Amino acid sequence: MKILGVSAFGDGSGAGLVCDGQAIAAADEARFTRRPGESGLPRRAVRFCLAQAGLTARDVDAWVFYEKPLRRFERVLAGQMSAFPRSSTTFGRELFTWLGDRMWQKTQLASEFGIEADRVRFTEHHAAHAASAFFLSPFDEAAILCVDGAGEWATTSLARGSGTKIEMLSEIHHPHSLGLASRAVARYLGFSAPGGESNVPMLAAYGEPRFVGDMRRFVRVASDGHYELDHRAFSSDLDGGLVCGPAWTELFGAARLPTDPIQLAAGERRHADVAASFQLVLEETLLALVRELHRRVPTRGLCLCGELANNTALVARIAEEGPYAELFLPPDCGDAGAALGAALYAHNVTEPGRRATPLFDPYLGETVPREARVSGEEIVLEDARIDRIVNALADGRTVGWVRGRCESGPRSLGRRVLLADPRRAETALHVSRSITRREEFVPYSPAVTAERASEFFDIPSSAHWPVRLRQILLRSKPAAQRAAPAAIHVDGRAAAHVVDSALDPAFHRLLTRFGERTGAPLLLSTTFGPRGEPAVRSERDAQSLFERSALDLLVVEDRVYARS
Amino acid sequence: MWDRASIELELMSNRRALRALWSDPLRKIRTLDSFSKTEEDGGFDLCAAARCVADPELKRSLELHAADERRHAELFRTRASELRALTAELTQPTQDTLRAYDLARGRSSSEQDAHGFFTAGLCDELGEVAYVAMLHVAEQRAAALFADHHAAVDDDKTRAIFAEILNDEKFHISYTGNFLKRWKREGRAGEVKAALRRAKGSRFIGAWKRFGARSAGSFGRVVLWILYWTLLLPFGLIAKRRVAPGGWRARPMTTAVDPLRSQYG
Repeated sequence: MKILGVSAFGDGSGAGLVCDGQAIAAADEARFTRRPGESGLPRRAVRFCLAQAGLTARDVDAWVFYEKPLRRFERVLAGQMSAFPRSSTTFGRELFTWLGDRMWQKTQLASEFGIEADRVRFTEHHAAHAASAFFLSPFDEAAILCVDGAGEWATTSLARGSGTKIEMLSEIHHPHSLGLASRAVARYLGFSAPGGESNVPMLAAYGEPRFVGDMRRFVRVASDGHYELDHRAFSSDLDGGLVCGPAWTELFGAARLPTDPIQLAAGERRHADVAASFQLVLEETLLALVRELHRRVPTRGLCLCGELANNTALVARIAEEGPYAELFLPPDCGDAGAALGAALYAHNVTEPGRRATPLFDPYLGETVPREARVSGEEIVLEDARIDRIVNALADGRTVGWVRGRCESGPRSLGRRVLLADPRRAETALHVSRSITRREEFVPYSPAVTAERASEFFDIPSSAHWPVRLRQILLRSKPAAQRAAPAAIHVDGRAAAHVVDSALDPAFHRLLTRFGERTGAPLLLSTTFGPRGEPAVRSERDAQSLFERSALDLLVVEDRVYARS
Repeated sequence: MWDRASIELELMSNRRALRALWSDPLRKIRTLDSFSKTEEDGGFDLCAAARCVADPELKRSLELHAADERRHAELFRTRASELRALTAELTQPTQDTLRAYDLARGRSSSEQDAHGFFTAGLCDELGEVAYVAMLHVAEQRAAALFADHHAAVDDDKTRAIFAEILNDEKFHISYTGNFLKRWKREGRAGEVKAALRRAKGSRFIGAWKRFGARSAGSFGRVVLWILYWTLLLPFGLIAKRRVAPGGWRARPMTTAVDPLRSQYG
């Protein structure tokens, strides 16, 4: 049975295709539109998934939308009413959007893709997230924790996965939402662009959690693990989200504008201190949730999903201190990744005897669209290309490497990657200023071979799966601080990518050869893309970034572009 | 006649709005984003069309056209990014979902669409004559719209982008026109005429639909605003007093026979 999951109109949009229980393709629409946080109907992602499997829209047995539109509409309506009369300015617009468009997902999908409306199905938002984690995991039985902005009503869900079934146990409802609170704090700290929440734990490393006492009053955790947000600190923004309210700014001062510089000098770190305090409260709250879940579902494995699972520091804390022996996170924890979850959920409901195949390969995306007119040098042999890259890196040059099917999820797992020699601390600054142009406080990641990862990092035993399928924040050992100072954050941690030879043999070989040259198989690695955009998609995108930046070498599949 | 009427209908509602559009930084960014998306879509479709046509000359022209569309998409996208960086504080995430709605459906109330009815996969379904006819008409319309934008835009950098694109549009109109002429000479005049008539007719209907959607949108919002202050007022007052309860909620039991088919439970 062929099932296509679709997510849209939330915090991201994407498509995922499952054929006979096997995840065949998944893509985030933002990769195609080049806009982070893209949330329109994922037409290009759908086209890619169908093309990948050699199918037409009519060949797909079921199209599954990742939420229940009418239940979400109920929440939107209730939100508008509870904000009376402030909502008078937004009510007409919001309702017009819903009545004119979003309520009609079934016919919309049918007409957009030329299929019968009867083939369109709907899962609950958190069920889709939960399925994206549990059915891709190697666990037969597991606890599932889903924490994100808001789906229909649920913002946090506890669930149990067993065989081909997911049983949703309890949930916390909107507006009490850690995901929305995180976004509100990110905006308060001046990270208003989509995905800005990922900067908060990075900024937190520079601060002291001196506001944590006050912040605990704003995010109250009960003995049964549930939490409540103080509506004076987090108030409604009338679009279903939250903003930091008057009680917050009264205690922690004015918000930082996106254009203001980030103050990191001693005595001027108020925003970093706010970030550190909020991150600590977030971690405590998540740990309370995980402990409550463990009390109800005392299995070995925990599947984490939802937007908050993209917070690498949060995941690290759960891996280190949580009660579960094993963790699993899907490569894409956000709404775009929930599209694949919706398809997996529908597969397990419609074919209850056949569980979906666990995911051992996160490279479910598109291959690199090539350019016909080229100027690069062709190097057909992979070993020769790797040697060329290793030589450039060892000489202190920066390299963009684009090849194969791209990874699911927002973070690079080596397929659209920018590499540099991490042995000199100033390399990070050079890369930030001349290529990525991103905030200088945001650290780069180290990539390391799986065999030697434990020489450089403390890897919690529960993090076996997360370190292979995505990046996770690890504590570095002195060897890493000596070998890769450019890829270690100020707090001594690093969001490492542990490269498995079975999963990505070419990248593993590159690291090994670099290790043979320099003594340590470690490289500075980051997503290869312009600031504020997802990773490059095509050869043209890569060339364009190469031309606009100070990148020294670009390798796209078998083609090498060197700066003269 | 249909062609002129549809362009006039489209432009009638556009001209007055164009200057207001380009003087508003947020709408300017969203319009450039919208153009970028339409151009990129066009690139995809032309690539697909190039794969399915047999004539090598047409294939080559469509490939060149696709490359132009992708370049236009990048020009618009880069310009939108530059402007976004200048107005970072204006582009709050709260706008994103509504923007996505506008773009995804192409039923924008405040942004402009470039090629309008340019639908994916038409070459497969219609055949090359109808496809090229549709392309020819779409490019004529795009050229007219871009010329208006070129005249209305308020900064030199964006105007230069429109100038470059207008130059490319000449090539697109010309090569599609040449193919149509060639097919006419080869004895397919009837087919070409019918295809052009259909393309122009569908464009007029599309323009009429967009005009209707805009009018309905404005009217709908007024009606909803009146409803808000009359029918919904007591419910609003009650809802305002209610404090959102916290704590764990048990999962509601679904009553739907087939939960996957239900849009609610």
